[in-house]
Amino acid sequence: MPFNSLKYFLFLPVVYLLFYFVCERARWCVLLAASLLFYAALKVPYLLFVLPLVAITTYGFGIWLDHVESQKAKRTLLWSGIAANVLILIAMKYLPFLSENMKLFSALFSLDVHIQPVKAFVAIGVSYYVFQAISYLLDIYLEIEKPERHFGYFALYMAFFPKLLQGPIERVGDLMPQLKTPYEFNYDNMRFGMVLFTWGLFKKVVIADHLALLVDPIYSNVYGYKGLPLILATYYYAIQIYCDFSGYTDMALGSARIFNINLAQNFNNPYLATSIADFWRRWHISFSRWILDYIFKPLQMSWRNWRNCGTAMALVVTFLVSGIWHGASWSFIVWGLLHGIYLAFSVLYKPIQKRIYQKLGIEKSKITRFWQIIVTFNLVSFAWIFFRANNFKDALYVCNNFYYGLFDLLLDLSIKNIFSGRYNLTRSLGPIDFVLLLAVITLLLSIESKKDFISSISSKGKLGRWSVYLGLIFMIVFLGMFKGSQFIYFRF
Amino acid sequence: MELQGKLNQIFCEVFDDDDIKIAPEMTANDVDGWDSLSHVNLIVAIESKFKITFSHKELLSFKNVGGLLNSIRCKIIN
Amino acid sequence: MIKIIIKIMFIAFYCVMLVLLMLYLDYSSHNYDKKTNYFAAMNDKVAMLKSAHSPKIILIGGSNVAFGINSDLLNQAFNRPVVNLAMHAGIGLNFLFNITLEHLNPNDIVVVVPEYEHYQGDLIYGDLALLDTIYFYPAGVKYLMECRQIVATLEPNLGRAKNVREHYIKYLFGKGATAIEVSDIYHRNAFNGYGDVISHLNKAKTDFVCAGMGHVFNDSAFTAIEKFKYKVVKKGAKFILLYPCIPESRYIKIQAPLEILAQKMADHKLITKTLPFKYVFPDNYFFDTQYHLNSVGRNERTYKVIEDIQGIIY
Repeated sequence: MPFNSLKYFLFLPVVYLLFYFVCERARWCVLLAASLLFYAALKVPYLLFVLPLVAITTYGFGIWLDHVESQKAKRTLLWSGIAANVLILIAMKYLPFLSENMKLFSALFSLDVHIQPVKAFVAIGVSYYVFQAISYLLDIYLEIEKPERHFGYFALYMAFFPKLLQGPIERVGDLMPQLKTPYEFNYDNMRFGMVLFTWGLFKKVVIADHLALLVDPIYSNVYGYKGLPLILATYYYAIQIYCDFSGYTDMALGSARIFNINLAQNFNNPYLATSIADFWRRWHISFSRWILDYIFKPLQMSWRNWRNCGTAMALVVTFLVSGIWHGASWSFIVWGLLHGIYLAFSVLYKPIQKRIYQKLGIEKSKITRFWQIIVTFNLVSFAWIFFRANNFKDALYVCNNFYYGLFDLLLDLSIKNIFSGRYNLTRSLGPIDFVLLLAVITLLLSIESKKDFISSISSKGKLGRWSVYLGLIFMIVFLGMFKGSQFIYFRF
Repeated sequence: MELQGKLNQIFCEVFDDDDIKIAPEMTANDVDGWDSLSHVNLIVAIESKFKITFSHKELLSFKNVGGLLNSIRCKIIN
Repeated sequence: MIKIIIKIMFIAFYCVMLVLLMLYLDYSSHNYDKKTNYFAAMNDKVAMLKSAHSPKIILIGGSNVAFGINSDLLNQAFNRPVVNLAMHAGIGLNFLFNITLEHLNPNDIVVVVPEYEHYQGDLIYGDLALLDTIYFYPAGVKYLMECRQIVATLEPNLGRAKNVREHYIKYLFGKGATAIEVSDIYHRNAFNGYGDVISHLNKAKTDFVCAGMGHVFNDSAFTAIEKFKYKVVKKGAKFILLYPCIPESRYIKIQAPLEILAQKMADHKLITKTLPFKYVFPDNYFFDTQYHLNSVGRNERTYKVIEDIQGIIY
């Protein structure tokens, strides 16, 4: 069930109450059962088979890995365990893509291969817990961690409902000890968790879902637009995806916090990044740490004798994998590659850049930082075109047409023109909603850039705190987009 | 001690900073600029200076400078 | 611990108050006069159902049934009273199922024609329109029998905030927003003595949009229909499930998901003799939406329904 639904608002307190009143030894059972119920609420029965399959396989391989003595055997087991997990992921997510492209491939070579069209599986969550499973096996192989012997706790580590559908991807060393710590009611955690959850809900239903109204009409029919609308839709999408994903993550972290579990931070003001490398240290942190530790570093080490070129290649390959992980389509692959190329380029360019800044004496200047942030944001937004477009052809169209009429527009820009509807700036939203949205977004970005702002809310006086809580809830109820937001008569 | 001194020199060269003083507890976050790129350059410089090779497993499981030192020590002795 | 329970209860109370406020604001910006509101017609339909003699024919579905069937033709073909309970997809089907079961007798025929959207998401339990209907037909509360149904019915009401915003922002900026007018088609007196909508029959066609369709279906919708079928048959009545009427231009868009649906129908043994294509009609048979037929289309469609009903009673 999605976090922004009535069902979840009822589910969470019920689970917590059960968890609280049950004895310590049974608490993991409550959480595990709740997690399975949560997954079952998606109404996709075969997923309830995939999750235990991944869990049992990984649990078994983990213990076996620790058990064998020889390095060679360990290596073989490791690769088998990884292969098993990857195969499950491919089967769930990539078969339709592979079979479509096999047809293309065989047509290219005039081969007469009959491939049955493969139905797409719903694979929500699978990418996340498969990667988590692989990190578990690798940590055991590298002897950073010992395998978990208690299958119940292991299953909970894999299935814990706040992180089940969209991460964060948790390392066993971070999550397992917390799951095993006996629970003691902690007022601060309760409060923090609930405030964080509300904040995430706000970002999702007030900001992200509103922006979707601006983005969807354009991206679902890109050929009907040229120039400015395409640019704006892409910028809006950059904010939408941040608010959506980080909002979701906040709700996940908030949910976990009420059980005294601290999940990994996944976002850290990504659009304040001063370089693409910095961006990836701030965006989807648990995922980028995963590809950094388990794909990039090993590759980079293997190719270390090729120095910068080796590193550049490792970056491209790593982000290619990232693209594939995000989705089974060419536009996701291109998105990943684009980031890989950005990073590879910056590896080669960085020493030169450093020298230029030193020469100009602006290395530490605020203007430089500002410039870097703007450039990075634009590079990232450009890449989002490929992420959001329905397919590769659409993305190419946007790339070729977004600058149409831009020069004339810049000459012609005025407040009156912006709201006259001429530039499709406020399409689907009235001017008032648009201004409100801008105000809210600015507020959001400036609030979030303060460190620990959730705790700082809690440290204000009673009046201050409660105004924030009640104000957020008011905005969620009255400004939020919920299921059923279409006017009744539309349903006919 | 002598080993640590030699390693320190390599650090200074790789990070282009003469003020670095390594200690066994130091981790990647402590040394300014020890991001992925410098890490590689460091390892290459160490391997070439001490005429040793690290395995994948070792490289991925160094927690701090102390671990690095121990590994170098073992390899030189053998 | 007690402290936080009190605070949580206060917040919950505050949330409920806000939602009620939003509902109130939404109501006051619409026309909710029970003499003229479309959903108030539920009272009339239930009265028709109570007074109809068995063996009768009961029609259940979304507005495709309200706007797309000529019950007079059914009455002539089978020589029985016909009651058209359908009004709007958003009332869901569960509600109508429960009303029907209470008034069902042996040898009655129940014809169920959901819209395709009823097989996806939670629409089978109802959405905004159901709450509106209950407002006009308070006795209908007893037909909301399951927890799941209640949650699914209440949930979409959070979406009313959008209507409220649009209305009141216009009002604040002096655009003189008035209560949303009663349409001359969608009102309480739009129905004839069988419960069919007839107010649209002599009106000109308007343009409409044909929506696509997702590939994911809600298995509990099929289960709910199966359960209803079982109860109908147990009472000695007959049950038939049909595909809704859609325009050709929509059929072209949604052929792939429809194949999946047809397979599910066969798996659940709900519809085995016909395919969705039987109820695809030319675009010019439709009135103002992708489900509403005009007078020509309505008759053509009813002939097909007659054929299908004949298939189960003879």
